[in-house]
Amino acid sequence: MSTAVDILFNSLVLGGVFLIVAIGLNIIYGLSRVMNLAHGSLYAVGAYASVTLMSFGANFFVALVIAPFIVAFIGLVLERTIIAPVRKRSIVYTLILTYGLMFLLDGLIRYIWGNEPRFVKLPLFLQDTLPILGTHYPVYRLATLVIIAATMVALMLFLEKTKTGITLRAASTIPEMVSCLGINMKLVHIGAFVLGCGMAGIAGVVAGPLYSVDPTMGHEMLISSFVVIVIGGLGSLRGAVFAALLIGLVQTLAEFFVTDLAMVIVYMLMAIILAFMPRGLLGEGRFE
Amino acid sequence: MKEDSNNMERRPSGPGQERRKPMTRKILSLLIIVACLAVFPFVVENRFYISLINQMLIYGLLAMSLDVLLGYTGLLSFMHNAYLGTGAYMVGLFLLHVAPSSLWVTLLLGIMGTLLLALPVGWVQVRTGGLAFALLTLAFGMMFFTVAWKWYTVTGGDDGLMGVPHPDISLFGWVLGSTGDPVAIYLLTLVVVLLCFLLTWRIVNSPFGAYHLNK
Repeated sequence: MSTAVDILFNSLVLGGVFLIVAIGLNIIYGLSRVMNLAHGSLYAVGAYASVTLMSFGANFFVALVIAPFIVAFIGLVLERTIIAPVRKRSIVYTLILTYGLMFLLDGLIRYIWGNEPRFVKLPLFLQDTLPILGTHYPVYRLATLVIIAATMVALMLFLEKTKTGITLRAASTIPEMVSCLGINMKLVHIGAFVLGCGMAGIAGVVAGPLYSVDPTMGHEMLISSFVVIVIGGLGSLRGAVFAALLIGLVQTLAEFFVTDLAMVIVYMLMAIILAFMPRGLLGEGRFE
Repeated sequence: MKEDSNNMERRPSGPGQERRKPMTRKILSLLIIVACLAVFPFVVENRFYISLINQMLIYGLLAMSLDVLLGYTGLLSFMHNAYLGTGAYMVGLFLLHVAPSSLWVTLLLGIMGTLLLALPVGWVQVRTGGLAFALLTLAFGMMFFTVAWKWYTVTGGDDGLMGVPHPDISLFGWVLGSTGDPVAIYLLTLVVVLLCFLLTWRIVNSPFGAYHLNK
């Protein structure tokens, strides 16, 4: 019983982290038709930024607020210098470009922070466990769920209630019309990219204490978030929530039962969905 | 924007334009390059540079094969290196466990094995195109990588395959050299790369390879 509760909570936590990364990726793709392969590396940068901030004596929660802004700023620079000039070209260009960017960022991470994994020191009250439903579950993982839920609620409120958010959503459906209404699409593209990178930063800070912070942490996360947005349907936010929880559960179960080849099952799932249901499980995806 | 669309069109029509250049000049330049590469190990006897050029030739062949896919059909594959790895593992495993001295059989088996593996993977992948194809290859590539990395008993995981034997390069009973010798393996690589280059050239200029002119 307690194992089942553990698995359930673990899959929620894992699914939540996937969700935040995948939503960022989805926003960028939905608004500017750029598939950012460097997203996983930006997530790693977020985790490393929080490690550095905390080594300067910052509290975990302070790092949680500041690190995403650092990643968002990096995103702004990348968008202006690298992504924007090739936006009008075929998507193959941005794919190759961001693929190279991924290796560049990984190299920079290794150069700045080194190869050895880092461990995040949490405040004492987060290191405890809490008796819940017959098991002792770490407080930090429960806090993670709260942080993820809060992020998602904030994002939804932003997209549903504010004028900027409504503009962004409109731009993802009919960019030509939004452009005709006198809204600068350049700003929309920048906003989408920066927002997406910020989400990756949040996910990185949250995931840092869950798993160790190492230079390759971005790679598996990148593929996992692809799996999530492909299964949920590219550009569909509703589908991403559904798919993130599904993949979180599948991966946790697979890791519990077959350990080594767990990821192969997840990749297989993506391959089957993509090949036979290219619009995702909910059928809301949009491919170019 | 206009300039971009020009760029997109220039690439596929490249080979057609090249054909207007005199054929003899192309063959001559190819011969000169091959001759330079062939005498290279005898002029520069530093084994480091021989291995370096050897690797360059191998990755050049990989890039050429990717160009057939991306440049001529516009399919961006992120798992091309997975097939390189598959071929390498097949050759290594066959030499280690089955026949340590039969080079040609092993090479043929490595190629055929990779083709057989690529067949079902490609069958699934080409149902899509564009972005979906790229993502699909990324997922399959990670799948291949995970298997190679985690299947410790067969692939050796991060240790790799240790002690792969070096069979002799022999042709009709003549022993031309050992694959353990940098110069011999360099020349073998050069011949293989040259044959593959000619084959690719033949394919992209055949009716089958004219697909790109359609797009």
